[in-house]
Amino acid sequence: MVDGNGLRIDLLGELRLSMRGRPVALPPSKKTRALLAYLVATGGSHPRERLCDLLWDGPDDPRAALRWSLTKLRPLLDADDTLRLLTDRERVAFVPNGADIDLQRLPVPRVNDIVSTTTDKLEAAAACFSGEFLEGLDLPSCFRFHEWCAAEREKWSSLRVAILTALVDRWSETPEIALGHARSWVNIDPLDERAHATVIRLLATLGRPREATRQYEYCRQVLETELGTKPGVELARAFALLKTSNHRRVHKERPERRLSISVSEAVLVGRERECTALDAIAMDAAGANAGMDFVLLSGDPGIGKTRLLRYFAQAIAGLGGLALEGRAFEAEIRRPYGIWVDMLARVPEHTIPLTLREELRPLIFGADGSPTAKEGDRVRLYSAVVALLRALSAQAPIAILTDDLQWIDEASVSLLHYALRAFDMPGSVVIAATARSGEISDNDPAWHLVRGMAREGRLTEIPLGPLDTLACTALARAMAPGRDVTPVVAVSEGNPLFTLELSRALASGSNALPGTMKALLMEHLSRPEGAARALLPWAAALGRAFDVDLLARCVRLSPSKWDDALEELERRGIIRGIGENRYDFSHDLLRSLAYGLVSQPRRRLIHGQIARSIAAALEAHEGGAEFASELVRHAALGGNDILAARGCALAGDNSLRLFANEEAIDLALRGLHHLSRVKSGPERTSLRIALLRVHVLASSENRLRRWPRLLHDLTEAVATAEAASLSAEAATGYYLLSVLHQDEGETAESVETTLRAAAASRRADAATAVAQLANTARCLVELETNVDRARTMLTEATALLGRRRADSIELYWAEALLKRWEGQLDGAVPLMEEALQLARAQGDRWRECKCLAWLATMNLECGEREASLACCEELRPLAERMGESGELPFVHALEALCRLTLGLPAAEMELESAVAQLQAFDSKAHLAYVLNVAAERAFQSGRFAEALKAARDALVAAEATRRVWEAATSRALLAQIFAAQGDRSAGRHHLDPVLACIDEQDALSARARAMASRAAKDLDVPIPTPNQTLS
Amino acid sequence: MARIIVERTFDPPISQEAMDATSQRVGNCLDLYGVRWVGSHVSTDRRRMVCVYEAADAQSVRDVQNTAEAPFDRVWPADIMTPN
Repeated sequence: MVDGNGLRIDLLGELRLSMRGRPVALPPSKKTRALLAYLVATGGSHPRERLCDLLWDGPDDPRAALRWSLTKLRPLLDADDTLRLLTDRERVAFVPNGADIDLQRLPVPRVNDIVSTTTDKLEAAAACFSGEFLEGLDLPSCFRFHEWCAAEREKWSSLRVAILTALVDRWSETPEIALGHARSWVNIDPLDERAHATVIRLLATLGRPREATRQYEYCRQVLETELGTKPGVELARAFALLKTSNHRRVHKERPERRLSISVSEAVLVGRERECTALDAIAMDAAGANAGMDFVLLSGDPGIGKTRLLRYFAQAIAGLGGLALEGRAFEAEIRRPYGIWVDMLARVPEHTIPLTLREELRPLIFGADGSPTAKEGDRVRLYSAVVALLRALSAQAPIAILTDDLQWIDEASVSLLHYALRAFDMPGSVVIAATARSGEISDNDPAWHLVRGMAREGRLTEIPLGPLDTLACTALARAMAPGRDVTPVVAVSEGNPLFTLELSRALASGSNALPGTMKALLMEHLSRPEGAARALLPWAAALGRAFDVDLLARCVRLSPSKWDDALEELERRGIIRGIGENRYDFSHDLLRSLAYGLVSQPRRRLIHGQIARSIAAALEAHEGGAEFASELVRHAALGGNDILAARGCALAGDNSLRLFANEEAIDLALRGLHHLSRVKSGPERTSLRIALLRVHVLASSENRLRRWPRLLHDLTEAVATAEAASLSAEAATGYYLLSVLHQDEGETAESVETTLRAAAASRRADAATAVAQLANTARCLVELETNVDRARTMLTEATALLGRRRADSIELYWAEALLKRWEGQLDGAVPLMEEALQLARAQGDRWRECKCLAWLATMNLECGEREASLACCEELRPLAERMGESGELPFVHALEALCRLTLGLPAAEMELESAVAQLQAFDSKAHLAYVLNVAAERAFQSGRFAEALKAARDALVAAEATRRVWEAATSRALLAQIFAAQGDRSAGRHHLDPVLACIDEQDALSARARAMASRAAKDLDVPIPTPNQTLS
Repeated sequence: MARIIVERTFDPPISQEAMDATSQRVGNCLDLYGVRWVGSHVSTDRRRMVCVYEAADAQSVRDVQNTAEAPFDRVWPADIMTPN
């Protein structure tokens, strides 16, 4: 074996790293660990793009997330100056350089090699497996990684089973040894009757009939509940052999002593300081004086975060308040507004103001229909939620509590962030959450939220450490009265969950206490028998709080067995009731361990059955909207592509209703991915159109440009639908094609990036968010595009500011430009003056120049020529000092225009010179504006040839810089000039494209619209009203 | 799209950190104004820099520089000459 500087990497089981025999702590981030495993297992070099797709499909900057993870891995892998992680700008590679990797160390790399391998080597190979491949490293939200991992697990499990069966065979003369291997085989694939039969035969041979009978019963139960079948020939033969053996009869075992204390009822000790802090926050809320902080209880799993959050909820309720609690689940990270839907379901309906019901419908009452979501709808939804919370908090304190923030969905974070911004003054609303310290960075939106709050000094973090010895002893004694709890305190190291479980074991008479939390919980999970034991994998696979009705659709049990099974699991503290017919695991660790015990093939079977049950419920119109996202998950894990695609279409539609467009797009892409593996047929065609519909409607306007193949795919899908006589689907397809064509060519790709930047800014701190939203809005109006978006962003920026007055130059600047665009110059000028004052106060010279230039422009446009000239005079020396940033040629041009309109001498020559300077300066947008004003002036003076040249040059410059409104102005001017010259045809040639969009909301500025109206009048063309087609 | 050149000088010489920070700020603004960064040359003494962009006009590049607070001396449109 190579020394490898002592670096050893194990993947066959839990991912483990060790250096010279000492375990190396892995990064807490699951995605970072997954990256490590993927690089090591696959070897070779990978493009960064592929790694980003694998694990960071969601974040705005996946490459940054990858870089961050690589920085965490480098010190682990590149120890002792041995370079193992090779990276450049495009690719990442892992080279072992002598590292000892179990996959490479395995003496039997393939099934075909087993026959020729010695027993010793087979034993060594079996010992390499300490569990399933990358045990516990599940990332349900990263479906590409998940698919890779599932395939690897199946591959390695098959090899392991083959090795174990060979070993059972080789050790047939030594059944004690063979039994160990046979038991491992059962654990890997409990649905394999041959494995059970082998265990039964070996137990019988060893004279252990009681255990053999139990094994038979367990196998029979599993086959009945999961496959709906009875034992087959092999098992029956093994059992018959058992019955004919002359061993003593099986006696009923003495019932185990049972505990009635569950985790949920556990006492709260050792958290006096934290409770005092939470009490103070609750009291402040009751006195309408709660701070504006985001309260975060953080710590390791099992440290007591949820228990403290529950304490806080009780404190609020004790003060007459309302605690709205939502719990995020790892399996539901793609369920938009998941925690909010759960939280708001707790608000009594009669307390919801009638005026808010319509706006809140998507979250509280479940919307129907398929609205095309716009940016403004989302803001209205958020405002309605905040208004509801305000209304409720006027009566009593309100606590918004999120458990397990590390698994929250992106849309919920967005709304949470909005609420935090809205409640930024002392009041009766408290927002609190729990989070696993190490895993929060895996959830990009949640991580941004926490960091943003910390940057603003609005984060009250209550980190939970281990309990001290006294508290730990008190907790253990409360759970195991009259027992010596010293060993519990010694082993648990202050972890409350570990203490509770150890004490539970102690109280039940166990003498040997397991040394690790995992071993203890595993032992705990191994105790249930019969129906309760059979139920565990199903409950764990559901992945969240589960509904008994749904579980009953999947597992065949008689009503009395159901009651017994649930009662036993609850009594043992494994699950707890959380509502009528609803249960959850007492702790997420128990759920993940119970799931870990289920073999890969069996998981696939269980998830497949759950997916079919959910699909049946949906077809029968039972179950809520959340069923759709459940269907996606279970069908994908169960390998049922058609059901997964159906779930994606349903869940995508639901996301559209909630204005969660990013989630909708993600679901559509996911659905299409599943569909690509489905055979052609009517259902495939129908689902393809449904998924493309979600994609198009969620990607309205510029976002469509991110998917250049969409038009092609949709055209193809429509043709297929027509060929299959699916008329409704074809009609939907044609409607979507019209949406796509409408979008074509309207705006530049830059706008998309602008909008993405604005979306990202929503997660930044308030000041940055306002600045970025206003900056983006200002740019959009200056770039003459997307006014509606700009307006929404300004509304959002203003809402973020709350009652604080803005000191954002860009906000006033953008508002002024918007007023000018609307033709309200009287309103625009004071706003621009405000922006100018702020720029001066902040010593921002460039913005001072820009604001002065705009003021000069606006004054000129509203006929205040003297005021405009005064601005220019003020601006000129400043611009001269600024060098090129001062944009002196534009200042000269503005001055010349003012002087021209004032009829001052030599103004025309000055303008000519200024235009030449602007051309040399290569400032085309300014040039277009100046030439349009000059053309208008020349036209009014009857100098048509001069006007024509200026307007034509203006049009070229405007189109080169994609200034839509300025180009429309040029065209309208050209139309007027041609009309005056009697050339109607040339006039219509320029005017018609302008009139074609004149009735579209926000398509043209007031100036361009007025100019087009004049041209239409001159050419005697009617101006289209909305919905009227131009003849 | 035209080729646009940006000239910059630094006294004292620009540090790597400052260069990275400026590059990051400029990068954030490029798409906003429809500008593409082609490449840059920095003198070995870190006192001069020439950056090459593609944009509709020079003013778009100036707007990027100003919005990103990246100091510059001159911005001008250029023709490309290649060896025969």
